[in-house]
Amino acid sequence: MGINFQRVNYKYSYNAPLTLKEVSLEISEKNEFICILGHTGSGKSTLVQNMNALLLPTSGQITVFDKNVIKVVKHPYKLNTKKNRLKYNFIDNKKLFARGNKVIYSSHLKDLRKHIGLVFQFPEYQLFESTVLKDVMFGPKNFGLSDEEARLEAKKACTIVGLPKDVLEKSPFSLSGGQMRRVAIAGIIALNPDVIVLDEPTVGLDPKGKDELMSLLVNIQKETSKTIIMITHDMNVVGKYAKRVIVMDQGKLVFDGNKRDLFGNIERLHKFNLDLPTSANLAVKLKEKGLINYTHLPLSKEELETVILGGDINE
Amino acid sequence: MKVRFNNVNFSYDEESVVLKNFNLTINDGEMVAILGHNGSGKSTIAKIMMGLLEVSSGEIYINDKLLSQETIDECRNHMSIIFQNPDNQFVGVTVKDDIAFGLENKNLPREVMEERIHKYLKLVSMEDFIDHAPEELSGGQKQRVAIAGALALECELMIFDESTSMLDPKGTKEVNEMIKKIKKENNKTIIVITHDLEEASYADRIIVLNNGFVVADGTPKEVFKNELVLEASGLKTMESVSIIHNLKNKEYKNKSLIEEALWELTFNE
Repeated sequence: MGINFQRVNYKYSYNAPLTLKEVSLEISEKNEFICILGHTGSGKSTLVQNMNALLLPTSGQITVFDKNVIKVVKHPYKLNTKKNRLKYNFIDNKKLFARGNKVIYSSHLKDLRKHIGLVFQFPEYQLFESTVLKDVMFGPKNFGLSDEEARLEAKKACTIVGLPKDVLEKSPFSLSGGQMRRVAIAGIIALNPDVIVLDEPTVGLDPKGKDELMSLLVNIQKETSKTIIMITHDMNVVGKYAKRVIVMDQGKLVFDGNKRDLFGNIERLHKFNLDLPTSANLAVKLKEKGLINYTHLPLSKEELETVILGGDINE
Repeated sequence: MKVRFNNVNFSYDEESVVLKNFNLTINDGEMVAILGHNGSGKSTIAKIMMGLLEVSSGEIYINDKLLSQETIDECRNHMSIIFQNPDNQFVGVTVKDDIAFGLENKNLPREVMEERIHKYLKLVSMEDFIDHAPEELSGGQKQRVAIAGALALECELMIFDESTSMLDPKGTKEVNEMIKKIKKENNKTIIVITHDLEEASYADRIIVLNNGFVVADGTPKEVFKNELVLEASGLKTMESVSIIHNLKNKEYKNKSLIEEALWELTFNE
């Protein structure tokens, strides 16, 4: 179950270099809070866009919720033979189409996108409807819900992201940046996906908006146990919230594990062009001066305060 | 380069007023950071200065010259702005074209153009991408090109409108170092519009905006101490200052030394 990548390669065009190189990973369908890190151009966005088949891998195999989304074959024109039909388990040919050397299980695409909701970078630029409610309803309606059902889902989603009721009938363009982003996220939550993927959700928000959005995501996860995957550059967010960290470097997956492992090895961290969270940086310097002592490096402000007060960090 | 806002009023529509009786003077050679929550009017100020928005009432003086329909071209010659989203300002077919665009508009000789393109691309470490098309670049790379383009114009005043928000930590650091370097070597006036407190801490002076009003104006140290004003403005103070504040009423080992060290780490680096 969940998302499975096996030796996935991706390039944007025939002559382009590989943006993803032999990426293999396994993400469980519940209870994960994953931060994807990497410097600009390392393949983070490409990776998440492959997860819901907005981009299709050049080679390799991606399985989402036990459904084979895509399989790369050598001779797509031979697909229509009896043997291949059995092999790929088609009942009728409409289920699949071939693009290049890829077989795409088209009947699975919509299903897949229902499992995995993707929130783009600056999603507020994609709002378009005349009212907030209509904008949030757009997704569920596309997935075949009636107006009534879609309205219900949309209202639920707006409550989850903390939009006040009086906003629902307003134009989304009259709202502040932080609120517009909430509307965009509500549009994805209304689809009730199992996994929510966000591409740099906190960029451009003021510090308060950032905190509010992060606690919103934490709450959604606590209440629904959905897996949340987010791309971020903000080490403070990683230090405070991540349960699992994936680091991309030049298209390769170079780290997949615990944040304490990642931040524990400063040399490797710098090799990935990453930095320590602000509090960890302060902690290292205070320790150098002999003012505090710790066994686990504090990764957030709260943890550093605990250490300064002479306490220990609970794993 | 001196900029002065005198009793400026501005609103996008009749319902909401963005700036009300706004007064602000930015002095020659100063690096000013404008901090504020989303919708506080930060970017509006920059756009008004560039003549991209027209004020409802009040005057703006650029180098003691009134900004008006007649003087706008001349005033713009002294200023360049780098926006938040690099996609909105990439005009060239290649990186080189993009930087050349601004220079062509200034009627510079070819040799000077070539020289500046190379000089500033090197400064933002994008020299290897000179013949690349914008769609081959990531968001952060595009932003670095935009910064090089603005630098190449060699104006007296540069406005950075949240222009590092899409870069990774290393890129942000590089750009910030670069801003400091440019300021130091060329005596430029620099305005940095940002949410990022660390970025603001490099400035000589910080101005905090809340709903179109200036609620704080001072050196980084003065402003960051003022946690209540920052919080009321949708901002937070630096983590180190906040730690000192949070633990003020508690007893712990090495208290005064830790407090001293935290202040030092915040402002003397």
